[in-house]
Amino acid sequence: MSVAEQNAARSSDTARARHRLLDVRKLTKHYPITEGLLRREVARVRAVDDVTFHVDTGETLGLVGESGCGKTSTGRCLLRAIDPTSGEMVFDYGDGRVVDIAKLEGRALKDLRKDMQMVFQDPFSSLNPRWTLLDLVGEPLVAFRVAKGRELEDRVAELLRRVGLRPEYLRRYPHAFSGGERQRISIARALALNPRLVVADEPVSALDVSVRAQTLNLLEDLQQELGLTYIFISHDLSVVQHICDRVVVMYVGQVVEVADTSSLFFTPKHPYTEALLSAVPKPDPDLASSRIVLKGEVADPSNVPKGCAFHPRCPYAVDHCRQVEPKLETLGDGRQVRCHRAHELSLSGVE
Amino acid sequence: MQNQTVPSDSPLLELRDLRTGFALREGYVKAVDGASFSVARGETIGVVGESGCGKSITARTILRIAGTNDSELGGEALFRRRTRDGRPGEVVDLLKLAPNGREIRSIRGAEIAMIFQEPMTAFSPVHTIGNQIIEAIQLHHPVSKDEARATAIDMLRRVEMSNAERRIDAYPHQLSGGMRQRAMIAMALVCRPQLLLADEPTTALDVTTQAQILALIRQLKAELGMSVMMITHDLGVVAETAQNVAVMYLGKVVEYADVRALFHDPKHPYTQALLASIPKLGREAGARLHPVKGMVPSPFNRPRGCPFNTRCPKAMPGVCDVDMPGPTTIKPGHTVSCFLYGAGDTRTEAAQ
Ligand SMILES: Nc1ncnc2c1ncn2[C@@H]1O[C@H](COP(=O)(O)OP(=O)(O)OP(=O)(O)O)[C@@H](O)[C@H]1O
Ligand SMILES: Nc1ncnc2c1ncn2[C@@H]1O[C@H](COP(=O)(O)OP(=O)(O)OP(=O)(O)O)[C@@H](O)[C@H]1O
Ligand code: SF4
Ligand SMILES: [Mg+2]
Ligand SMILES: [Mg+2]
Repeated sequence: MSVAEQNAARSSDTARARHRLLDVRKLTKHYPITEGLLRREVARVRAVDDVTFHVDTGETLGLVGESGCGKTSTGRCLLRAIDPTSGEMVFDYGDGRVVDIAKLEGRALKDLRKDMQMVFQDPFSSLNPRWTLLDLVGEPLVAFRVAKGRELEDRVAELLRRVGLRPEYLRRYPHAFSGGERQRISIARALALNPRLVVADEPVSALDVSVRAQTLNLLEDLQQELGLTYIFISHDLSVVQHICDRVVVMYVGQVVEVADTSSLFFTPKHPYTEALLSAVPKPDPDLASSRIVLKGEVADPSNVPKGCAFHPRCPYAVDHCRQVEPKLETLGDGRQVRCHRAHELSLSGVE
Repeated sequence: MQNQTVPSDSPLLELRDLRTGFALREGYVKAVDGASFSVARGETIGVVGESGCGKSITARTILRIAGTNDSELGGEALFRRRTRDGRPGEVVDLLKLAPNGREIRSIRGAEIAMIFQEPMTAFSPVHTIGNQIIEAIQLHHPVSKDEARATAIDMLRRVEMSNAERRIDAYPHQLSGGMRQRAMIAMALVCRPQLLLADEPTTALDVTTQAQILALIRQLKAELGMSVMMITHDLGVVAETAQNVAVMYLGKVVEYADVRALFHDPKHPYTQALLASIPKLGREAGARLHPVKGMVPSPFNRPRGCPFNTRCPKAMPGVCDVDMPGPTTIKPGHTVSCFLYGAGDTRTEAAQ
């Protein structure tokens, strides 16, 4: 089947009703901190701590939060680039096959790569400098014996065209490309096997404003054409608001709020979300002054504060917050929030 | 303004037709190609533009650390020095100073300081941050090590580093990104410079840490009465910190305006395109983004005429691809180099 035929098949595939593609339940990833020759465990980094969320086909789910809150670790667990400590990640192929990614092994795990791919933050270090574009983009096709020789070249040329690179570049090395072009190369590589789900880890953070706009447009176009589902990891909230349908906010390894994008941005329910939104520098000198500057540093995931993990930095914290850990609660309208005071607080979002 | 002895229109730094090039095997790169603007006392000027437009090299040329030889420098960088008792002193052309001579070394770090996007470039990994800050102090001031250490701790406290007495003995890698950035700012400001060149100081940081660092720079700027050159491609950061903005494209300043005019009434098609390319937070979110068309031309292969003509939606064939527009004053304090607004003041003057 040619790429075009496959795509046509895929589009009719997605024409079917949306379904729950991925259900993440109580996902946990702890990194042990060891000491001494015997590598005795002295503490644990609770990088991902009891994380629950889902992704439906065709949507873009944002994963946001400060540096070190566990976004990348979550993404890497989903692809089993690292093994989770516990939890389930139920993936529904939509054709009757439903698997728990956490339990996959061997052949079945390898097969997962056909349907799930990752695009990395750094377009400079994530591509092997000694490989040509043909090697880089064609590698998954070769690994899965999908194509070789002439057909491989055609497929790679088609993929390059798809992401807006000239097919003539097939034999060039990545150093000859700019940051934005390299990011396109990694996107082409991620798309080679026609995945259903793409986990994009800060895909535009290292890019210039204009190249960033090109790349975001490209991701949107590809989603339309190929019916892709994205998990979009970012700490840039203006980008997240632009591209995501729903957003999961994380703080020190935990989900603190889940909502559709406009609810989250206009009427945040968690004080941390409010603080994040207010911290974004606004490209308008008349709006620039009204910010809450969040005091203090992100909590240490190997030494999470008692009670609500956010309480030392929260302007609304009361005694109860310092003692008792809030649970992720589902509100009437289906939004989820982890805050004792979510019902009584009236927080401000973006204008 | 703060200082009666100097007229308020006397700038701290004035760049006149600044040029910096690199002679490479592949050709000659005009990294800065005739940039002119000035920085007033106590002012924050934003310098924005896409990657490679010459922002960093402009700052590095001012400090004479761009790594070019003198034949590749042109124009003037007039800087008003400070006398020993802290009053405005003589004006020197930084470009005329020997790049490693006594005078530039007495300016560098003491009167003009620079902070970088990646704090690891400012710190050596094998010395504690404390020893590096102490060394910076002792380079310019004849004080004992203990006195310098006390000053360093005081400065670390001012950049809101908690546990400054303890953290002064940390190595750079032992600090988080935000803390390293604070330590670098402390090192840059410890000699109370008149001018701070801040090269993408928050680009690598989270929004929350970024907000903290920007607030810190603003507060220290007010306390020390210094001027800041804020180099960034984040227009949000510029809107938030700068009073005036220089927009650079291929080594040239294509528009210069106060921050409100620049954001609400941009004149140069490049500035307009840059503003249209950013996702905006708020009601308009989700609308299709409009990236600047095409790519920044290769530095070896600059287009003839207006540097932006190959990507400009309003380019006029036969005009823009032939001649270079000079700066035209739209209103006092707002200049633009674009044929849509005339051929440029200097040209008309020359023609008269
Ligand atoms: N291999 C590892 N061993 C020990 N700790 C780790 C490891 N990888 C990550 N961590 C820690 O786990 C926490 C979460 O890291 P992670 O990279 O998932 O965060 P992130 O949200 O992606 O941050 P960033 O925005 O900086 O990329 C951090 O405290 C990090 O230091
Ligand atoms: N040491 C060097 N030798 C040769 N060319 C250089 C050197 N340093 C910079 N350049 C070139 O000079 C031009 C301006 O570079 P500069 O670093 O000032 O850009 P910039 O505006 O700071 O970009 P960015 O946003 O990516 O930091 C670029 O074309 C760059 O490739
Ligand atoms: S639970 Fe308390 S401390 Fe935590 S976010 Fe809500 S109000 Fe703040
Ligand atoms: Mg990460
Ligand atoms: Mg730079």
